[in-house]
Amino acid sequence: MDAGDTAWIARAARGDAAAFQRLYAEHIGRVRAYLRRCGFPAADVDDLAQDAFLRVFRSLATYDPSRGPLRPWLATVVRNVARKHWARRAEPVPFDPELAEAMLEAPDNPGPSAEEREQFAALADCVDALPADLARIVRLRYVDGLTTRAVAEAVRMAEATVRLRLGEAHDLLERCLKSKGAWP
Amino acid sequence: MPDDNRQPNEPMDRLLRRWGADEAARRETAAAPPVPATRRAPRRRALAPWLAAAAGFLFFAAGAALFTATWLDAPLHQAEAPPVPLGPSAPGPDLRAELDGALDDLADARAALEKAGTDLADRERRLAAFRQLHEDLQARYRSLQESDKAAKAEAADLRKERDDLLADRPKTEEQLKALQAQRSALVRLWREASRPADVSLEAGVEALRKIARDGGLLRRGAALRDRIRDATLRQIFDTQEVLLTQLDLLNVDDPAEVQAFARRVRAFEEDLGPLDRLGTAETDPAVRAWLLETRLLLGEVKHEG
Repeated sequence: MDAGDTAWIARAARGDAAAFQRLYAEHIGRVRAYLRRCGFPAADVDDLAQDAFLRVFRSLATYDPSRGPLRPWLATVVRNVARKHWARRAEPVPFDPELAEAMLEAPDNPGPSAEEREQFAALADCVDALPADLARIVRLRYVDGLTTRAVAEAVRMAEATVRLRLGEAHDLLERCLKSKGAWP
Repeated sequence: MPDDNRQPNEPMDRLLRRWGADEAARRETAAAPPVPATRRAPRRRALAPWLAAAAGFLFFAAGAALFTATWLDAPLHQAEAPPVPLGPSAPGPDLRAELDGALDDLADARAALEKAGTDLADRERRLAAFRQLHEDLQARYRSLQESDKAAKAEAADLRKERDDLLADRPKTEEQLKALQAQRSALVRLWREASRPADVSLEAGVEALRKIARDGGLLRRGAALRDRIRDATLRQIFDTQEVLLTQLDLLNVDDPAEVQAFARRVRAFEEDLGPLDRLGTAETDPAVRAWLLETRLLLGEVKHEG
């Protein structure tokens, strides 16, 4: 977090609508993805994300940039909202806590580097090039953040088969990336 | 057939996790609604006078319509018949602001509800703690009551024991007197059995010396000396041993010497007092027996004198 971010946060804390807009746009995606990966129904994600940002904006004045980046502070608020509404999730919800937390653990605003961005783009192409069933499994696992068990239920396969198919996809994707010169 | 135990491609797994997170964030950013209403208080305050004016105007217009309808004797519903096209004529931004204000109010109400829930939970916790304290105090009170009962019962037992002892006191004293009388009778019997009858002083003293020698009094006394701890008793013991030694060495053919010995024995008796002084219950039984036996024997010398 640089001085510019601190200034934006300070402006947002003073009630600057444009600053709010920027903070919201910057973080809403990860907040929503975290909530989805926690297993909340899609219909609840909008409410919970809005609730989380209302809390963030109301208490933004209490945030002290000298004590650390905004993302962990924001993550605490979002986790609290999720915890308070835990019962709203469908039962049982097999979600992967590690993949859910990964949405909140990234540092503030670094974004992927240009090199990484290129690798991501190549990887997206490679995923699209996979057989449809493999591409679906990869997206359910890594984009939606489902456990292999939940993926297995979604695609009506045995969990062991899903693991095998994921391994197969790894190999295919590695070959694809090598062919594009995007694999170290 | 694929190998079920092969190692996962960890670098690819890590890359897919980062890519997936980025994909998910981008997808959700695109799907997110516009920025939520947050701090609309100033706009709400600006809206308030407008709403008040609009409400006043509408109230005035409705009153005027009602008055006109009544005046024209027309059915009221005819005056209301043409619906007011609120949608098209309402300004978009104002409706949006109103909606934002309502969302703000909803958020405030939700926050207030959450706070009330928290307060309620806190009070319930405090109430539970108070109930627990109340129960603890009641238990403590019951315990104290039980202790009080036990103490009273113990005091009653002690009183009864004391009363019993007081009631038994005369009986105990009678028993003591009987024991003393019994001991006196025994001493008298021993004296009568051991004293030579109707003999001269010299012959009597010689007979007593024979009793002392036969009973081994000097030899037994030497063995008992170390058992005596009490200083007064040791003094009595030493005096009796000295008199016994003098008796052993006495020239019984010399009446003057025998008479002098008898006087020393009487003086000794007066100094030492009654037999009761010959030790307490703590005194070694063998020492007490030796003192008593020697004393009785010397006492016969006095009687002979």
